Amino acid sequence: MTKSPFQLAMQRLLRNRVAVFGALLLTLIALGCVLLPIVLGLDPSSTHPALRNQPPSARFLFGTDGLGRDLVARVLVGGRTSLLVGLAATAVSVVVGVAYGAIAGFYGGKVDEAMMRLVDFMYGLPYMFLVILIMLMFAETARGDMLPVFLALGLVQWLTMARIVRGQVLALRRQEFVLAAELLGASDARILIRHVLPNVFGVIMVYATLMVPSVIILESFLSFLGLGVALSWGQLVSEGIAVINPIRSYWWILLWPSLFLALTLISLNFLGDGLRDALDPKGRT
Amino acid sequence: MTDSAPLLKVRDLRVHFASEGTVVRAVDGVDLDLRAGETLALVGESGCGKSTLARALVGLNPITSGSAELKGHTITGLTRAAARPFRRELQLVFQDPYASLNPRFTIAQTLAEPLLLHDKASRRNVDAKVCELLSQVGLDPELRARYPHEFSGGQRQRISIARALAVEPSLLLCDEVTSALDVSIQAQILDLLRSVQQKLNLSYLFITHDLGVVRYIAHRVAVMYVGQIVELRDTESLFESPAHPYTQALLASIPRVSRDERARTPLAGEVPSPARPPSGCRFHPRCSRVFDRCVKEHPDLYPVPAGSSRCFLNQ
Amino acid sequence: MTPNVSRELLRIRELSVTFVTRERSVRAVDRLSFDIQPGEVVGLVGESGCGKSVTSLSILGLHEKLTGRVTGSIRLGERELLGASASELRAVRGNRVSMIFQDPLTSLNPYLRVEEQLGEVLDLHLNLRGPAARTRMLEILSQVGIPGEERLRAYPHQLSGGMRQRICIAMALLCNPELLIADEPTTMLDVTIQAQILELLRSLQKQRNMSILFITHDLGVVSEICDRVIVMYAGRIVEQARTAELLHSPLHPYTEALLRSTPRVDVPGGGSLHPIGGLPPRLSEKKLEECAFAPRCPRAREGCRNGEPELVSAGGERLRRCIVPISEMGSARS
Repeated sequence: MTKSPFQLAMQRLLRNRVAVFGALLLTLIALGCVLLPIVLGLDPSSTHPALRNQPPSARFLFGTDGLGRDLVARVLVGGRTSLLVGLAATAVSVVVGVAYGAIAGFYGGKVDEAMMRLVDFMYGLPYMFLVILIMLMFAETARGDMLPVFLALGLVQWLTMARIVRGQVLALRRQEFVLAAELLGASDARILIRHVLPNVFGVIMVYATLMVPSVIILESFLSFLGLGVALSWGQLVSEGIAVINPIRSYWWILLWPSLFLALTLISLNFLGDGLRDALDPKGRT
Repeated sequence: MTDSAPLLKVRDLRVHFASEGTVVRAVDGVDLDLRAGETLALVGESGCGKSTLARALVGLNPITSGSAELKGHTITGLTRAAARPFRRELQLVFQDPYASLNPRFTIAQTLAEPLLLHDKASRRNVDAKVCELLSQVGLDPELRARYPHEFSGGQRQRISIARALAVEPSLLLCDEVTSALDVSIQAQILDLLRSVQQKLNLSYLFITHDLGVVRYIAHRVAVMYVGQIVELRDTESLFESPAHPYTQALLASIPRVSRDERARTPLAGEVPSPARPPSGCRFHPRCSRVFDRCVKEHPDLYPVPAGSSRCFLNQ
Repeated sequence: MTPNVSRELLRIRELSVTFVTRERSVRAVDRLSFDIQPGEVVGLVGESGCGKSVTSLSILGLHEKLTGRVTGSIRLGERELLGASASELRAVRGNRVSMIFQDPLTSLNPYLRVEEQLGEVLDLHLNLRGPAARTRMLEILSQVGIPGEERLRAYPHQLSGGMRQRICIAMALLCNPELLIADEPTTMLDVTIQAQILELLRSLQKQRNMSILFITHDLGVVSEICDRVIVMYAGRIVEQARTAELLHSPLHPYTEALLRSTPRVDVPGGGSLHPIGGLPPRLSEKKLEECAFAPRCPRAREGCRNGEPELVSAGGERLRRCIVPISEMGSARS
């Protein structure tokens, strides 16, 4: 009968049709990318030299590319990479950013100043440059390994998360219920983990959801530049653009990965906005 | 009151902040004693320092100089770790019922935390103790699985009081605890505080701007003005024959329900900021009985019947 | 008091304000009817949730901001305000009817100097600009007790709470309104400053023969400034009387209980405090089967649960919504 604030927020979220649509679309795409290739026995790398650059047909619903590969398979399998990178890199940035921001916001004063100066400094660095540098560093040692990608992208995104969390924690720190816990003699760790962070959780969720799209785009860009490690939507988009010429347009090679990318990003944004409204209906933050 | 040693002894306490190039003398030399089972009210208008004083006593504000002792132990100037044992003895209840409780904790969790933290209960019997606490403050123990947003302001204040009582303190600091409540609910909370005090022989340092509440609940009153105590009296004596001109003006300003035509004029001027206190007696710019000495010299607290007053007229 | 023949300034009939949310509908104001005469100070008293603020906002059509559904009639002189067009309302606001609020800090635009805020009102309603406007501003500021050029150039954050509230009063009075609605204007001020502001309002009211609708929860303030008092509970009027009569011999158990639960500054020991038990009612759209105050009423009896009492006359201008015989009021409770 009694609902926790979290349950109430979920109720509000479920009433938001746009957000629910986003969530469903996202789930559909994710499940499709993960399960369909297995279920249908699709192979992204097998070539059909006789059927190169074929437009969409009954056999190849999305058409084939320059090497005669099935685009359905490539888009779905590529999706796995893009989504995985999006999630993993966001997870890295959340973990690092929340820890950093929470400590800065909680202790305030000189600790906060020093920590945030570092963040300001890093913000000033050209991050694409850094990411590319990291990727190149690992390129030799870990060919095909996804970990460097997660790290590279996550380590760039954590800055924003740190700033956001720090702001929230700074504000919460002065709230009476946090002071009351302090007055009861609770330790700093306990106050931070049990009182402050659960009340920042909502904001973290919202920004994390909205961060995934930008990570996916970053990864796409990397692939586009040829620095990607695995088949992804970004790579497919770059392949699609490479074959554009004024004589023959192989539009399907570009269309499908772009469409999937766009739909994923849109649904993530709908979901993120919905989460923000659900968690803070009065718009106070 | 017996003349046992005071529970709380505050001597020449000062809390100054640096702000925008000036020094804000929020609390500027406060002495007071509080005995067991006694309620001392701290009254004053904005900038008088009453809230700052309370927060300094519990360690939420750093102290610039002076000392405070609780049961003979110094409680000022301690590190967080050293202050921990005294967290039990001295608790603070806040003004805002809506921000005082963690919105994600059930009431049971909120009340269990202090009990477990200070070994007042074990995991096995903590629930029973939570029920006991709720009954003590007049709430139905069945409500303990609920969240703060399901309770009214008055009920939340009761829960905050219960949380403070959980550690069995000897002194409760009440910082404007009824100011955000409706009059009828305020009366409920005041009654609760009185009955709890009698049962547990608790002391209260009761901060408020409402003099009616003071007369009802306090044994003694300290009137503060721009960081200092200007009058410290037994309650009835203060109301019957206020000694300090500021107290007199304060009492005269209160809108009364049963009132014949006033012949008085309201106190003129603004309440001074603690960043720029007036010279000499801080009240002199607004005082109707000011004379030369008041502008240059700063009065001490002089004894008057049932207390003291910081005015040359009482010297 | 002027004879019945005089035309009332504000005439409210059957005003109802309902807020509809997904979970439920809340009837914040329920078929409210009262008048305000020219030059009269009427107090609207009650605790939180009684509907007094909502009523005041509805008069100026500000209820839209609260997404409320409003029915009934609010007549200012000849003109019907409820359902009036936006431009008609704008012509009235700040001009014939002004309002001052509880928090002077949020009532003033922090980015504008005092002269710009006052200037806006003068420009909009009186077409006054330049030196003529400036003269008027200085005039009004000195009337509210803060003379001097330097105030005009100040920003709100540079002024104290009392001064800000004086500026708000100045803004409200620039166009010589017939009615001033004051929603808890002194609640956030220090006691000594509150006394100054009440004194100011009293003298300005007399000078201009202006009506004031004074909303407050503080019965002491009511005693200082109001000619007549309306007590609200759960969105309805439960008692109405001249101030002295209401405070000395209340005829409704809620008014009585309110008086008895207020600590007294002028009585030894603060008087004896009798809290009102229970909580204020949850307002819903459903018609009440009983008196709204019955669950908490120390004088409740059998008949109180048989439907809501009517508001009836109790002699002269007095009105009460209670079935307890008048002869029993003022005696000890059972």
